Amino acid sequence: MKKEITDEELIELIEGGANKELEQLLSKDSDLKNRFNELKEVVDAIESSQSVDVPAHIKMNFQETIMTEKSKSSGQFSWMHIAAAVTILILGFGLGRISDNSNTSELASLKSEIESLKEVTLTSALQEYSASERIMAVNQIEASTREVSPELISTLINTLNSDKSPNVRYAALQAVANYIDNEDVRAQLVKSLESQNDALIQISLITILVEAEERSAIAPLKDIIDNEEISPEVKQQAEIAIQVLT
Amino acid sequence: MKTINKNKMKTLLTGVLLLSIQLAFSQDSSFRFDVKGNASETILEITQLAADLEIRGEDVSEILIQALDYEGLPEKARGLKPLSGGAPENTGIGLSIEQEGNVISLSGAHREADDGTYRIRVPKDLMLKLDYLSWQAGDVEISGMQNEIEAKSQVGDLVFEDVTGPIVAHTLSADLEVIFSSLNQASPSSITSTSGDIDVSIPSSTEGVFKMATVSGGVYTDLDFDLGEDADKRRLVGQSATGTLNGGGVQVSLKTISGDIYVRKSN
Repeated sequence: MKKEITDEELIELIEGGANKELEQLLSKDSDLKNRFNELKEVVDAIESSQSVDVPAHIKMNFQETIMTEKSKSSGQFSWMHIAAAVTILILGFGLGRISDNSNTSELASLKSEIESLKEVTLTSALQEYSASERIMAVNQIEASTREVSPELISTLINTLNSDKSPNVRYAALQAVANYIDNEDVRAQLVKSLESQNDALIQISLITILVEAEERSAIAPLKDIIDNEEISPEVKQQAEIAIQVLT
Repeated sequence: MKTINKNKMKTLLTGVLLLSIQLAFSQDSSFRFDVKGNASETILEITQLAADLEIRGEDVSEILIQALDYEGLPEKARGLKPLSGGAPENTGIGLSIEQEGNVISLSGAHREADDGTYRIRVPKDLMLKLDYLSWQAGDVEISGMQNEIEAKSQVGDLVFEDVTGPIVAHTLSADLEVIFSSLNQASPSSITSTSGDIDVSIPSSTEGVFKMATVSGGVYTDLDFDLGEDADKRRLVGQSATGTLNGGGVQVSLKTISGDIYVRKSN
């Protein structure tokens, strides 16, 4: 039976890894040779695509993150894993494109893909990493000077509503508060108020909604006052908030 | 000195005697657990426990747990199993401990464990994660640790001493005290409470950006924070400030609703 050659093995060869056995196979097997050439095209394209103008904030965030993590001698969960994952994703994307249409100009659209990969990365960081690293991911979104995409805002809101750590939820709330001028964000925060069960987050949310003069918060605030399970400190803040808002 | 009533003295002596007998008979034993793999990539997760804890990080590769006053199951329960049990007891001192992948789970095997005090010596570069959410939870003292500590507590005070962080800790009404030996710059720290006080000590040379906010408490410090234009900004509700220390560095968030915030020089 013919030995199955994986893409990884081919890519290794393309990237200069010596593999005599594989080279011999390539000279005999024209199908394999075709696959090899296709992959080579992708790898070359990815290498040359570095000259494509990658948005500055993406470069900055990634390079910074990776540099800080590199300098950490005993990194617990290496961000390099993320970098590796991103590389593989880009590769996978490129391969997908190539198999549809070998026109390499399509690779230009990698640019926008990289942008969404960055979001995937930050989003996955919010799911898998330690509490402190999750706060770091939230802070990075917050520190971004460019316009933050609706997807990242909804990532922040998901974090606010479902992260296990109250500290991470609090950080997410602080970050979301920067977009309080956005009507959707205010609506999401009002909704979030109904589902939060930690006094720290409840009171912080109330404060933010009062400062934004969000009158649609009055109904859930009244619910809070009527809810026996909610702590007296929160009810007190809710009463003050209603006074300010009405 | 007033003469103590003889009867009182008798009662006192009997009390002391009974106490020492009790101490002598209570199980004062220990349990060792080998950490598989690299400690700095391993998390010790403590859940389902409400005992007082003293956790100390040292240059060791194994976990040593000492039960200081664990009394075991009641005499009458001999041969029976506690119905309220958690994970199976495998330590002989009321606890359950097991490692799966890079997570070591430590929990109380039955409610008798919650009455005890445990002194736990661990590799200092282990990560700690502590869920102390019981309303009966005891206090937790952690010292000498050089990796991330994540802790949640409702009513049990959290005292961390000689730690580098990052620290991610939250309490409901308990006080939080953190004495940093230095501040880990790799990722942020966050110390929050609903109604507890937050008391943080750091070396005066620490670089960092401190976000401090309280709704009805005060913020007090003897450090030279650069508060920028944000100086003691009183908001519509409460008070908040962002202070940069020694040019800035990792972010440290300190937030309490009704408690006070103290940030002290440790040197």
